[in-house]
Amino acid sequence: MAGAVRIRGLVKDFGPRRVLAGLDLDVADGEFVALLGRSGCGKSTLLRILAGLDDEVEGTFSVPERVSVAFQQPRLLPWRRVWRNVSLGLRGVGRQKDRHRSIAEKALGEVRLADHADAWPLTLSGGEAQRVSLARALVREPELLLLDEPFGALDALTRLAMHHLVEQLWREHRPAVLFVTHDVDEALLLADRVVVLDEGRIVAEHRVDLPRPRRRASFADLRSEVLSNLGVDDVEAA
Amino acid sequence: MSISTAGVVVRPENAAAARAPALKQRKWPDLRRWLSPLGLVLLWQAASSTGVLPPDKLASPVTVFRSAYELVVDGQLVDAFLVSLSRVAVGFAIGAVVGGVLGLASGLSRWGERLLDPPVQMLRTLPHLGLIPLFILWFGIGEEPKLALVAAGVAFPLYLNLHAGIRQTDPALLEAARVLGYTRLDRVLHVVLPSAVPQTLVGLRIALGTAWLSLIVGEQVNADAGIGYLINNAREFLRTDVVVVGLLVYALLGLTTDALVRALERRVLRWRAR
Repeated sequence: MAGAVRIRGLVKDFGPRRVLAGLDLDVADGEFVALLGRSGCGKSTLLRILAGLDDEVEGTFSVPERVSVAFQQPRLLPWRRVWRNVSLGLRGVGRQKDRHRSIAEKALGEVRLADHADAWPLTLSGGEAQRVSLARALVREPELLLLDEPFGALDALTRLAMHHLVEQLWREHRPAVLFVTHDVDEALLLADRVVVLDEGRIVAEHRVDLPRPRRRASFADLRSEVLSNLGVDDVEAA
Repeated sequence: MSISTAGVVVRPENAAAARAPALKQRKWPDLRRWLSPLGLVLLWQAASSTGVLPPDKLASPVTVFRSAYELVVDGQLVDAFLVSLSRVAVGFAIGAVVGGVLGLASGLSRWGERLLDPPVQMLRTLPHLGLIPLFILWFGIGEEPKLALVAAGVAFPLYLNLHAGIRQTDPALLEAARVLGYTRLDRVLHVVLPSAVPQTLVGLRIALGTAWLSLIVGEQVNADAGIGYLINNAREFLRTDVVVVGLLVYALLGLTTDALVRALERRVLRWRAR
């Protein structure tokens, strides 16, 4: 299996603080990897480095040619209609301009927002805007999709719907996914593999061999194990 | 007086008020609000008719209205109007180019900001209307000092707001564009400049208000045509009616340009809709 991501000895310092301390990580093509950790453990930093937003690092890493990112905030351009925000993702992919609209509409259909193509972003709800942001990320047909706590700012009900949507989109498009979150349930619901990060290195790794779609009850044991990796006692399991 | 033109134009928060829920009420203007202005005009007319207000202090509304009609019919007002309008247009164009180029340079480049911003910030603290004596010494008493005054009044607010608008660009949006493969030039065109538009339009409205104010002051200096000339000429003959007509035209012009910018705002900033 060829790797989508290959990271060796990645070191990143912010002044005197070492955020990533010689990290090694591989993600296979089409693999869904969740990156768990407390705030400040370096997981978002790692994502930013892979996205090309931070290049002052030591060590080596390789990512595929087409990488997409969905951030915690949707980051849509408010002065562009929804479909034009989606077609922003086509930049550098080399498709003809006149086809952009139909490609964008198809992508919006996949996130169930086909009838919002001509809306302005500021008229959307938080969940809708985040779905547009997902459509923009997927329209490039990325080989690697980086998700930086994309549901962190959404309410609980919208989150549940988004989990389902992301799983479905991942199955259809099959990008490798690196999913940063601090929600253990979310990670165990979606990921093939859960990687726990602490103080800039990987402290635990769990393969989640459970059939999809998963139910929370099916991973109770794994959940308390991951929580203990994170230094939290699982009261529910006790 | 002339200040009222500026007072109407300089308030950027009007834009916010027009945007939000006020829209509904706007369709049905409250006619009761016209009672007191109308009453004041009637009072003014009564004071003039009874001789309490002598015509060499202030002409009656009816006289003002009649003179306005006569000035329009004999073409004087139209000629003066066109001269003043073209002064504002040319001065505004010069000021807009200067303010725009400087604003872009210091907004988009760190070195541009380092080199340009300090002197511009220092100069803007000078009340530009106080520059008339210097402008007369530099440019004489023809058209040039008037245009220069208007241009100076336009360049500063436009510079300040364009610069601020560019600097306010959300870094998160720039990052999002960067990961989508947008080059620096692309990011300026698609992210930085569009996000500077709202603030720039605020600057544009302030600039237009200042442009009219500058024109009014500039036209006090040896004008041989234009509305300022009409007013000064009328003063020599104690024609308070013509003075008032001139002032009303100034006010009307200020309001019209302000309304134009508002219309432009509504069109360009549609995306801000509720």
